[in-house]
Amino acid sequence: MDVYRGIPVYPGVVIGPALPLDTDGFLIPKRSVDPGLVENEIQRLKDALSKAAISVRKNQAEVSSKVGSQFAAILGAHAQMIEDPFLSNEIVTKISSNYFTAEYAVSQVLRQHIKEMEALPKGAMVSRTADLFDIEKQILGQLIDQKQQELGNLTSPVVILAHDLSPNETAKLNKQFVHAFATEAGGRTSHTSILAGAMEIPAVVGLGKFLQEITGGDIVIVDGDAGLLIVNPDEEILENYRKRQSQTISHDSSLEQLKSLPAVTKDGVQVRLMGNIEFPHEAVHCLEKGAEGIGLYRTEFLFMGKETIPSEEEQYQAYKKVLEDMGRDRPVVIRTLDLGGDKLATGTQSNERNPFLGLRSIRLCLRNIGLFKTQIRAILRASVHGNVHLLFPMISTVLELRQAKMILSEIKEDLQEENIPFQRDIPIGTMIEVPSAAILADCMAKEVSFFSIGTNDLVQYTLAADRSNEDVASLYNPGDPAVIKLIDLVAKAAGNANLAVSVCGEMSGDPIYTMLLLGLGIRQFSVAPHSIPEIKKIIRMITLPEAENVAREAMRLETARDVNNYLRGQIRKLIPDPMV
Amino acid sequence: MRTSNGVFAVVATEISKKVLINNPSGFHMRPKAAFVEAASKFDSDVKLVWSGQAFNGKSMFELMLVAAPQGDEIELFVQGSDAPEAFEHLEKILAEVEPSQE
Repeated sequence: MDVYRGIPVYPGVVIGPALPLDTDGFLIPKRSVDPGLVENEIQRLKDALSKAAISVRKNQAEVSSKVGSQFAAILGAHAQMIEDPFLSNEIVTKISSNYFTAEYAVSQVLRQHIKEMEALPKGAMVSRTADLFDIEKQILGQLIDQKQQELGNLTSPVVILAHDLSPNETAKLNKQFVHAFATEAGGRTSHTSILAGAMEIPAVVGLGKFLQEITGGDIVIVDGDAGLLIVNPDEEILENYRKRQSQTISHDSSLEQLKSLPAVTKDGVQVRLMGNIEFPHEAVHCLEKGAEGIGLYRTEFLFMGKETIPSEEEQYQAYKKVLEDMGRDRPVVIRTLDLGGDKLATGTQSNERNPFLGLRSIRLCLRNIGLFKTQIRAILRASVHGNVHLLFPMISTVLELRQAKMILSEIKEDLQEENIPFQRDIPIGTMIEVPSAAILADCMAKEVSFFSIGTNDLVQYTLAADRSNEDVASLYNPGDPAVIKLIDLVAKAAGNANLAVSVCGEMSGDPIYTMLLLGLGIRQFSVAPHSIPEIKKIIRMITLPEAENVAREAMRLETARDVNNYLRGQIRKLIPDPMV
Repeated sequence: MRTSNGVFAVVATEISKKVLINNPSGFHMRPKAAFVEAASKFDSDVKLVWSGQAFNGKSMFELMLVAAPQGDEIELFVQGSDAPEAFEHLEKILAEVEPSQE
């Protein structure tokens, strides 16, 4: 039994057979197959070799007709190598004597030859290792393709294990059979994690190297609550998890009944529960979970994984879809581009020494006015289709906020001149996620009509700790008294200025903080859609004086550990067997 | 070929000869590809010895490891029923001067 610890990105427990996927362009890990599947691997290899050869020859014919046969000859040589029976025999031997996967056997044999070639006397010319890398890529490409086809044709439940999953690959996953996934790479805000949330399957990312230990079909447990991957669990662990699984199922169905009930405390205080989304198609999902609106639409995901920057029209269509799905009245808070830090668009590469303190988010937009203006135009144009709110991220000074607003008014003027309709009094908000903004919340309040507290960044910047760095991750804690004091400050400033304030980081979706936040004066929570029922359940079980009491008590404590212990104790009183 | 007790075994003819590489780019990918393609058409076994190492002349993959520049010698061995014909053909490819287009 092996246990790997990673970052949980979608809760729940799944037990199932592993389906390891290799990633194109990524070093193939050493993996074996069950001895009974050796023939199958050999067949996969032969199919891949013949397909690779066909594809290279096709390529050769094309190059030949375009630029001449002498340039295409090299591709002919590649095809000869791929078809070389000596190569095929060598790989087959690796598979049949070591039970290697076809992928690993291919990569091993070719890497061996590459090494030999590198040892050849340099100078004169002749052999280029690039040719062999090319061939490896061709063959592996075919093998990986096969696996991906299998993904589309699954007939029984599996757990996908991979180094990383591209958005493309993730999109191919069939939810009916892919019950969970776990990856070596990735962080909480990486693509993969976000997509796990969208697919609502338990997932753990950032596990570090583990693939070399996996054999296809191994029984694995993905624990999306604790962030664990357990490979070949022993009987006792397996039994424990089976029990937890059945509890989770009954828990889920009881939450389902909450969907149509309002989020209101026992003493009648209305709370607004909204959903966070990354992709337009998730809007429907929020409605299914009973969201009263979209509290945070993270538009940067439109920009990630793309070759080119999406046009104004493309953006307009995406925003329009969300608005139409949500209907005329439900608010949709569109946050402008929050790129940089750990979220980079394809093709851009940060060479800043300290990207999280660098040119990211609103700072990046204010430097790339063209990009920023295009987005704001698209949002304004879409504003006629629903109830849009505009939110600026990562504001750290009042001046920045004014600059952003100035650009907004310029674009409004442009649209007016062009006779393009838009919602004139579109509400403007600012994220409070940098401590300076929280401290100056009373000044910020004069500039905007709502606040949205982004706890993920607020915690990171307040404690100066990156939670994906395991050496300092323990400092990162939403329950830290410093964070709570800042939230209190922001809530009070908003209250004094009669401003709406919502909390939209992960903290707002974590049930242990619900009472605290409510007690601090937060009346709007924006959470991942799947967390809505759980948070609603807690809100409906308490009264405002109870929540205010919890907040008061928590504010007296001096360490994150004490705060969290206290809050956990409070929620246990509420729900004796909490799933938290 | 002689067996251990000195009796001549009946084997197919083996022909061998050292061939000088004339191509200015050496024995590179394109002549190699032509060589393998031609060699594969014959029944005879084809072997190249270069730098003290033997390589199967029908395997493009093995020939990738031959890094013979112009002026190097490669020894060609052909053995089998169609050896003379094969030898003549393959020697020509090996010795061919073909201006480099790479």
